[in-house]
Amino acid sequence: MAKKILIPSLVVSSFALLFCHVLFAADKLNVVATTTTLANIASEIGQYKIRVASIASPKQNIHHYAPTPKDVLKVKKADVLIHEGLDLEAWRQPLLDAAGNSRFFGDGKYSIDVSRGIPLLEIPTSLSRSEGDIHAFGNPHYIGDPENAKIIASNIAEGLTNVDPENAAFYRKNAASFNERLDTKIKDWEARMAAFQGAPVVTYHRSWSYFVKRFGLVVIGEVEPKPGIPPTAKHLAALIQQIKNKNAKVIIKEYFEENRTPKKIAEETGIRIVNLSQAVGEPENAKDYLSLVEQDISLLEEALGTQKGRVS
Amino acid sequence: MSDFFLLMWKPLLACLILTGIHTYLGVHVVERKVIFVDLALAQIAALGAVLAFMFGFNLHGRETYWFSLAATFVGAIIFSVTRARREKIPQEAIIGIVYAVAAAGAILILSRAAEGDEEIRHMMVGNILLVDLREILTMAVLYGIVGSFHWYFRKTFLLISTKSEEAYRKGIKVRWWDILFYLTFGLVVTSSVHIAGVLLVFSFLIIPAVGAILFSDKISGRLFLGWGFGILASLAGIGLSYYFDLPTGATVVCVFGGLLVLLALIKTLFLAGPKP
Repeated sequence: MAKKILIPSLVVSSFALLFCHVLFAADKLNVVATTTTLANIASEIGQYKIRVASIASPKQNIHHYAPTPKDVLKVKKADVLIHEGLDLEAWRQPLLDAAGNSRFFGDGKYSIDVSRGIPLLEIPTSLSRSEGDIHAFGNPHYIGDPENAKIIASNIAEGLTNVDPENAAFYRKNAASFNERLDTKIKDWEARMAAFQGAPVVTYHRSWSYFVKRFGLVVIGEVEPKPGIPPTAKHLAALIQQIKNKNAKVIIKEYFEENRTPKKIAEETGIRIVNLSQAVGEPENAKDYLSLVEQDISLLEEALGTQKGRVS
Repeated sequence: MSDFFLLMWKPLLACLILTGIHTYLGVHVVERKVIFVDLALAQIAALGAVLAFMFGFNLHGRETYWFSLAATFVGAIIFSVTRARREKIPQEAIIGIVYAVAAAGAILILSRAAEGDEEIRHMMVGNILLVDLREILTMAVLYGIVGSFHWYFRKTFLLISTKSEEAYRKGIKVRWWDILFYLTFGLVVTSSVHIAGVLLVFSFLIIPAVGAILFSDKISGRLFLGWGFGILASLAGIGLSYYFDLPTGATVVCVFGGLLVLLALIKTLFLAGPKP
């Protein structure tokens, strides 16, 4: 008897729930962000007023991501697109073309380019094409500097406000609160890194320029000066010599970058290899931007600290 | 379902066009035993693009396209000249050498230039999911022209591919026809690789042709079977890619491979008659 009532009531209530879900969902802005990090910052600002999806996997090189059918669908159904601008996401334009969502044609208010107002590093002085056309606008890995994350947060708040002016106060308040929390953390991070001011480091790719500048480290060389091209014997020898001369402490690389060359350098010089990340979700316990940078700083602190105590 | 067609009609259409021309060319390539010739030509095309890049042209510009095409034509000439009536050195060896040297050449040139490597890699990877309508139309027109050309001269092309000795005896200028064959082949492969990537193009070329050979000895039979195979595998691959959210190109390639295994099993289990 009880069963007879239970099943229909379950059916009815689940339909009711579904209906509510649809109703509330309709109120939410559908936001799609190109990276997990941007998606996280966007969710801090939009909170329950938006639904956020991200595209590129945090476990891959952001330049080379290959979108899947669901990614095209996400863009097709999105109200707002948040991207890092410049030429970071080489796949962005083809993806937008494939999705054919007219909101994102041109640079209308539905596309939020978070790089606006960020002081860029390494802008090429000559626009000679033989210098490569990859980073023609400057180094696009600006998200490595948490000060830039504040600009990003404000850009997202303004962007959401343009699309949804009714909630302007809400978005701005959340951005301000995010930036406040970030400010506290930045002070902490800077204090912890103060001990390593001017410490010479090696990076794998030029994706840490903003980060090292913020925290006062000095890059004395890159493992791979040209992405994808294996370092020549001469380059490696010179780099190893540099590391020895300047007593560099760590090689900073991202998880997805190959480990063989850094390992070889480490064997020759005793330098430490640290895997850092700029993508929320890689490693898995870096669930938001703050814990991501926190993790990077702790790892670096540990690597630089142990080296310091070691007699080399 | 509507989402499926909304999203996937362009990749699906592109796959069908690719099936059309590549199955046909694949029948030739398998008969000629030059299986990897498309990889070598694609690599030469990439080398051409790198050269253009070195001279300061934009990688996506028209000049770069002409550079690629010119390089492909040089490759076509190499492959037709190195074919001998009685071969001492297998043609596959030449193809392998050309592939390795072209790939290494691109690395050498790039090590002197600045970045741009990612773009070159993209030329070889392609992304069928993101193909746009303009690319599809260009492909349809170009392959239509190449296809008609081959249709018009089908007797000569097929004779040279299947019974070269007879062609030589009949006094056909095999070398010149070979140049024509590899020129048109290079034109198709360079354009396809740019859109679909090396792996996918290779699969479109070889797998339907091989699958068809299992069941038919006649060229026309092989062609129709190959086309059927290609269409089926494209549909299934695109469908799976959509429903399981997998990278489209790689899914289609694996479906091609899986379908071939299935066909081979059917053949051995049910159709294996007494061998003559």
